[in-house]
Parts: sequence; C-alpha cells; structure tokens
Amino acid sequence: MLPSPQDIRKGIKLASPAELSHFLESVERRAYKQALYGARDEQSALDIVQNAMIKLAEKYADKPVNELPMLFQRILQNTLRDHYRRQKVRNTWTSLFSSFSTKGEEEAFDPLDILQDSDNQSAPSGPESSLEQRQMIAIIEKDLSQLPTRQREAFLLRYWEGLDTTETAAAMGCSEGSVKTHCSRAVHALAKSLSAKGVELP
Amino acid sequence: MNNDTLDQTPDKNRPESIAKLLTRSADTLDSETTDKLRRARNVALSRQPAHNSVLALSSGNAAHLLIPHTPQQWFATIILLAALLVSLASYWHHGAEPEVNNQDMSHLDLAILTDDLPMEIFLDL
Repeated sequence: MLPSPQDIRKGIKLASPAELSHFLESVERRAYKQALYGARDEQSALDIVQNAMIKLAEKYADKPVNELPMLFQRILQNTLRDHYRRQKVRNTWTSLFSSFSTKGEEEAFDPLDILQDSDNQSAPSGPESSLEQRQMIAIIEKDLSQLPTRQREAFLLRYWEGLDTTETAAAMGCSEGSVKTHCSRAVHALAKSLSAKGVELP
Repeated sequence: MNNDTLDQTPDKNRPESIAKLLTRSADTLDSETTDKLRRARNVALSRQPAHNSVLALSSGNAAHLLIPHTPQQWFATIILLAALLVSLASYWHHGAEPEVNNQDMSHLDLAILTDDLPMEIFLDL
C-alpha cells in the first residue's frame, strides 16, 4: 500500500523491515499470552499470533511505525474472533455427531480446578516469593480465561496493553460505552474472584 | 465462598497490579514457546513485500493485483478457469440444438403470420 501524500508531506517515517521485525519481537510474547487466554490452547494461540503477524507483514508493513501497535491489536482481535467463530462451528458439528467429546471439553474447565488451586495457595504460605508469585499468576490467568470473551478483551487491551478507551473501542469494533462497561465488569469480577480465594496482590 | 471475603475491598487487587503480573508472566515464557514465536515472526517477515519494488511498481501498473499470490488464490483461479472451460465445451457441444429449436420457432412464426394456427392453441388460453 502506498503512503498517502499527506504522510509524505508531514515526513512521517514508514516502517522499514528491520523496524517491523523489532516491533513484532516486542509484541509477540504479549500477543501469544492474549491469544492463549482466549483460545486456551498453546498450538491455537501460536497459530493465531502467526496469522496476525503475517497479515500485518503482508498488508500493512509500509505503514508509519507509530500506527503499527494499533493495527496489530486490531488484527489480533479479529484473528481471535475468527478463531472463536470457527471453534463454535466445529463444536456444533462435533456435538451433533458425538455428545461425549464436547462434554469432556466442558469438564476440562470445571470449577473444581479453581478449588484445588485455592487449596494450594493457602497451604504453602511461607516459602519463596517467586513460587508464590508464580501461583498468583496461574490463578489470575485461570480467572482471566474464564471471563466472558468481550470482558477479557477489554480488560487486556485497556489495562495490559495500555490503550485508552477510544483506542480499545476501535480495536474491539464497539462503542466506548461498552468498553467501559466490559472493563468495569471484568475488573469487578477479577477482584471478587481473587479476594474470594484470599489472593492479595503486591 | 464465605461472606467475609466478599466484604473485603477489591482495592488491593487493582488492574494495574494484575497487569504487572501478566507482564511478568509474558516475560518468563519457556524457551520452547519463544523459539516457536521467533519462527512464526520469521515466517511473517518473509511474507513482507519487498519495500522498494512495491513503491516503484504501484505507481500505475495494476497488473500485479491480477496475479494470484497465495495458494488459495491459485486454487480459486484454477477452479474458475476449469468452470469456464467446462461451460465453453458444453456450449460448443450442444451448439447444434438451438438450430433445431430455431427451425421449430420459425415454423410457428410462419403459422402465426399466415393465420394457419390450429384451434387447440386458442382453446388453451
């Protein structure tokens, strides 16, 4: 895609291959984690990140550097949404043919898992702080994966990626009002679930 | 869970603290995953269109838009060409039939023009 005449006039610097590489390197881990919270499967998460990176490299590689983060977030969210859609269709078909397989998947995300974790949390209260932190991260990540999709998206974009409400709304393709609603619900749900397990973050 | 925990103010678990832990978790990914991510990044970068040639070519030459780039596009192009071939072949194969129909039609036209139509045609109306 060609830079617009205004871009050239303003002297906006377009991303060079090295800059694109550097940008992707800086975002890939967080993108992978985001995809993992949504897809709950490492291979799918890797595929989603790779597809998003390929789309960015193929179509928007010669955009100004400062536009890359927003573009990438938008592409990532769309790729994730495509994944959910495909998964939904696949689940419908598999549940049509065999009711056992979908039951098994649902049971994989049972509240029992959380109960087990809260026990683990309370038992070894003393030892190394790094272990404690890892357990906390595991609890938070599990809670995040269990949030409704839109709430998780809004929370991660707004608080983790540091986008403002307008940018989050643009990346999610919804209004600013619903971003605020999703965010506050997500924050509330996470805080409630964490304090219910007795977790207090530093 | 018990009621005491629900009454606790959620201020301690602020989104900023959660975000900090998430960043820490992303920074401490295992080496296998980071290797896979690096490979994914290299695949993506290899798909990046060459910088200078894009700027030079896209000044008015739109021919590169017509050439398929991905395997899916090639597949679609081949399907389209095959469909075109089949339809053309069937058109040529059945090319003789319309002439027969035309003869029938001209026979009818002649009958209409010369008022030689049989009565049954009017009765059907």
